[in-house]
Amino acid sequence: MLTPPIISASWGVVILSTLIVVPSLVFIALARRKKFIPPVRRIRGVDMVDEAIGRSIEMGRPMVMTVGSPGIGPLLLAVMGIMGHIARAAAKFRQRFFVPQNDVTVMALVSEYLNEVYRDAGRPELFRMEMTPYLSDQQFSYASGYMGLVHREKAGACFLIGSFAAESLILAEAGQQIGAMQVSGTVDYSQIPFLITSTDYTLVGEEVYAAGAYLSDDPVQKGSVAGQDAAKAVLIALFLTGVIWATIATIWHRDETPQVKSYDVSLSQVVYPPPKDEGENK
Amino acid sequence: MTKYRLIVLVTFLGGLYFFFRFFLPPHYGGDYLISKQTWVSQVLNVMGAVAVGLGVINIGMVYGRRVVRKEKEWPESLALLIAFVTTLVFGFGDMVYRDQNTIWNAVYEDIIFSGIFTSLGTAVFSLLAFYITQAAFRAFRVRSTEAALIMASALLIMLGALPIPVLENVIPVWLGEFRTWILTGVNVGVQRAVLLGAGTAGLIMAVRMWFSLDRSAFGGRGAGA
Amino acid sequence: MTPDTPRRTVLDFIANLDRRFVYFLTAVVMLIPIVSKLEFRPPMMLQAEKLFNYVEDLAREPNKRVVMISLDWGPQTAPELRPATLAFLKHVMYRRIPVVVLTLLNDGRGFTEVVPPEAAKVVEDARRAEGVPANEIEVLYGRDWINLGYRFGFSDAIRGMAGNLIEYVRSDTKRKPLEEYEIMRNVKGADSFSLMVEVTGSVGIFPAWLQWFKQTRTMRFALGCTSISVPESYTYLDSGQLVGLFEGITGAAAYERLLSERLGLSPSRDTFQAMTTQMFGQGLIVLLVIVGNVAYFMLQRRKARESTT
Repeated sequence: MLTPPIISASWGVVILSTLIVVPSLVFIALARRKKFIPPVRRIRGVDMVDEAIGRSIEMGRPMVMTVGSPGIGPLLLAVMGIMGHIARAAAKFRQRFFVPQNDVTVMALVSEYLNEVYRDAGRPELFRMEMTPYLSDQQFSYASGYMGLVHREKAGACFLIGSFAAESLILAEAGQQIGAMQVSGTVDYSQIPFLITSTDYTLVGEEVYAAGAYLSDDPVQKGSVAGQDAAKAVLIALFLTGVIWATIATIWHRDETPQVKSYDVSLSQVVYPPPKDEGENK
Repeated sequence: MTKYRLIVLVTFLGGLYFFFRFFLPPHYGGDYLISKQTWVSQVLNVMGAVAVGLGVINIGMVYGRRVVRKEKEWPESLALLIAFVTTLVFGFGDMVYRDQNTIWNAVYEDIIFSGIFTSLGTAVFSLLAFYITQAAFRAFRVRSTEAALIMASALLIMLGALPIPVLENVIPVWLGEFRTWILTGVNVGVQRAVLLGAGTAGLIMAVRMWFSLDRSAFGGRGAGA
Repeated sequence: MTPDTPRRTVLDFIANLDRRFVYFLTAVVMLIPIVSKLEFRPPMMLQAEKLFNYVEDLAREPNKRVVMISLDWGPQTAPELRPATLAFLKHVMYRRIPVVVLTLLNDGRGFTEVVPPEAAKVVEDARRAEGVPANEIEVLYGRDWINLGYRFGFSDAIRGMAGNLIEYVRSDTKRKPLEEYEIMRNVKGADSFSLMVEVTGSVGIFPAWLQWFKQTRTMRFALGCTSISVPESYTYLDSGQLVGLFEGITGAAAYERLLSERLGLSPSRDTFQAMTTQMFGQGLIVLLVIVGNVAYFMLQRRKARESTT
């Protein structure tokens, strides 16, 4: 199946985008006005984060968190919800907390955010720039620096939540080697197996966003999570309709064409217009 | 206008370009916005390049402070700073004398890049081989049904791809087809599910960022509860 | 050892192997093919073969359109991705398909200057051996390939190039205007390319190419990735967005085998060696998992027996 070029939106994409985004905005607006704050289920990952924090505080060992390389974007926002929760606990119990960085713009944001968290927690004197050291923007240089930090500081809990590439296993093994309790989370599918085998618990995909919403206790984030569920309901309805339609079309046309590809089904052409011939896009 | 309101306004206007660029039909102005794409990309690149200085400042402040005050592990910090300055100086030299085979090019390309940086990076990457072996040995135990499924599928996929001559008569042919089925059938389905969930969440988060609906982190007021 | 200390048997040792012993075993096993120069014949990989056949189809076109390859890898992933890059460049250069080389990673800048000339040399040697006329042997820079170097900005750079590549990039690494090169004569934006090959070990870069660079239905993509990213890449294969795939070092070795068997180009022995070493490592993992589970089960049975007695 050849995928068509996407230069601008078709009417199908406009309608689909509206169906996905508008419910979220409605839930967010209701949550902001405190008219309806959707309850977010406490997922097991949140329990594990709290358990790791508690264990680290009991042992008197610092906590280390890495967000990988998410860049400035939605994922970083979600991860910072979790980071804020850990930082508040660290401030409250005067525990050292490190968040080594590999992206300068993220570092600037995280530093300012943690500074605010410590100030709001009444412990501004505990925040130091050394808590968010810039290690390197190179993947494995960063991993080496992280390993060194975790081993030197003898971290009691490690949180690997964000976006990772091949260095994820190296980061996870660093904590494994010193017996730290580790909670991980990522939206990068290829890294999930490595994190599952090397850490104590892994948040998969949108669980990172849900955990961020739960731990930050921000009504807007909770409204957003409810909106995500509504968006998924729209998509599931679309999938089921498409599957049923394609199945019927396949059975209907089975004598005419041996292989009926779903792309030939007219329903998908509403959202995904057929490709123009070569030359029309120039 | 307060700093916060200015950030909100600039964020909204910036997002507005990409919104209209995609959603406006070509004959209603979409074509004009698409034609400006090159210019917009160049502007964003220039803004991103400014951030490079932030890292330099942080390195200087954090590690320089350790050296000056002779804090814990200051020799390592000094080594980092020396390496940083050396690479910077010879990197600029290499850029100025590009393709001229001067001492600057020789030191930067042969010693710093190929000799040290490439070798060290490859060495750290090669740690993965050891860590994967150790992680697989530790984790792939049949302690539960899920663990058994993970182990079985991992084993079958690896066996299906081994071209070891000794095993050619031992490993059945259908294993390769089974491997392909797991990768294209089961794996793709699960991956799409994870991607769709994360993608939807990311899209809605992006809309929140565009309208500056968050009250924390990105220029918002307050830092969480 | 006191009388109360339980005796540590071989079974205990195997089931709870010290990680340092596992590391040592891994090193020894993977050194065997390196030291003995043992090479296995690469398996035939379907996706590498599909890409090979697609390039052969492009070569038969009367007016060969330009292809693009982005070397988005650095020193860390060079051992796995350089062979794939080299194999592809050898193929397109041999078939006289013009190729544009660039990278979106700063680390890849050096490799854009080193790898294409290496491929060109192999092709020139092959042509010399075939008795090709002297004026047709050379792989010329500016006609057969061009290096656009490092383009900063990831998706911004891709979007910029997709619109109007010459206006966005302006000059090559030699700082010469792109309009002066024969290879760029018919190139405007993304729609001027027949194939775009992304070779990367990083996440997120290929989706950006896919999202922003494809303009016409005849323009196709291929991907060269590390072994870690192979499962992720199958999504794009399944949806038809990829015309072929280098599945890590094994895919590169399979492609080299095709180049050797079908075109007579001398294969890269380093690639075969690297693939063999990887296979030894995989074999060790399989062995350790099986042995570890057998020991684990036997231990469980022993514990059950001891608890009943």
